[in-house]
Amino acid sequence: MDQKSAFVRIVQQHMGIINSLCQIYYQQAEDRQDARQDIVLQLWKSYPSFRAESAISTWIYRVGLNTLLAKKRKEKRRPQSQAIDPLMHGRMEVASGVDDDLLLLRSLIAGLKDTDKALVVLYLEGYKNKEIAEMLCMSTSNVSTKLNRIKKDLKKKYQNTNHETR
Amino acid sequence: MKLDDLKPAWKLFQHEQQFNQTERMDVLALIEQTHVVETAPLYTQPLLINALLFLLFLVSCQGG
Repeated sequence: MDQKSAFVRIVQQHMGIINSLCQIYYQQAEDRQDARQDIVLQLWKSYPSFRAESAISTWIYRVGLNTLLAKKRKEKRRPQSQAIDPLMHGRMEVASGVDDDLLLLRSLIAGLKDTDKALVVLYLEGYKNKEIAEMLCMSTSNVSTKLNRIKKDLKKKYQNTNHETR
Repeated sequence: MKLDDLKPAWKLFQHEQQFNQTERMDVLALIEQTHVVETAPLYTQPLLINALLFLLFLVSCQGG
């Protein structure tokens, strides 16, 4: 199998990861499409240097999240249109009776800062603090401090959301 | 609620996204398109065209 075919197969097998990351960082379909293309292009560029020392999914998370964080940093320099309040969006959907946990997850993560989203995603994926630190070029102590703070914030938001929807 | 409680929801979300029909993309077409752009001859690049036009302008000024 040639390099291109092998790459396409890998990406298609792991499209769930790429789509999930784009869904978390972008609400608009067009933005998600752009982000997806950026991630795939970055993966393609770094594919020749991928040594398979880590799992393919780890490599996709590392490249994907770093691409999205860089893209978000660039966009912050440009004026942005007003985004929908993710918490409010979540509440509306919860009220319609669709899978509550899934919607809660989406709405809570969407309300976090860009770097915090990356930390939470990797945590939910089951990576250890040390691995997360390596993937996002942070120190392990910084990762554990931030994760503790995020957990507290999420708990507070969850309690507030639960309280308001009752 | 603990953050760990959301792990099954995250798995479900990711599984949903794997089969998201509205968010499909042609990976091969995308990387082949990039290859064409990267290997495009230099004369198709706008910066070089501008530089050549500028040189032409300088030469014509010298001639006058």
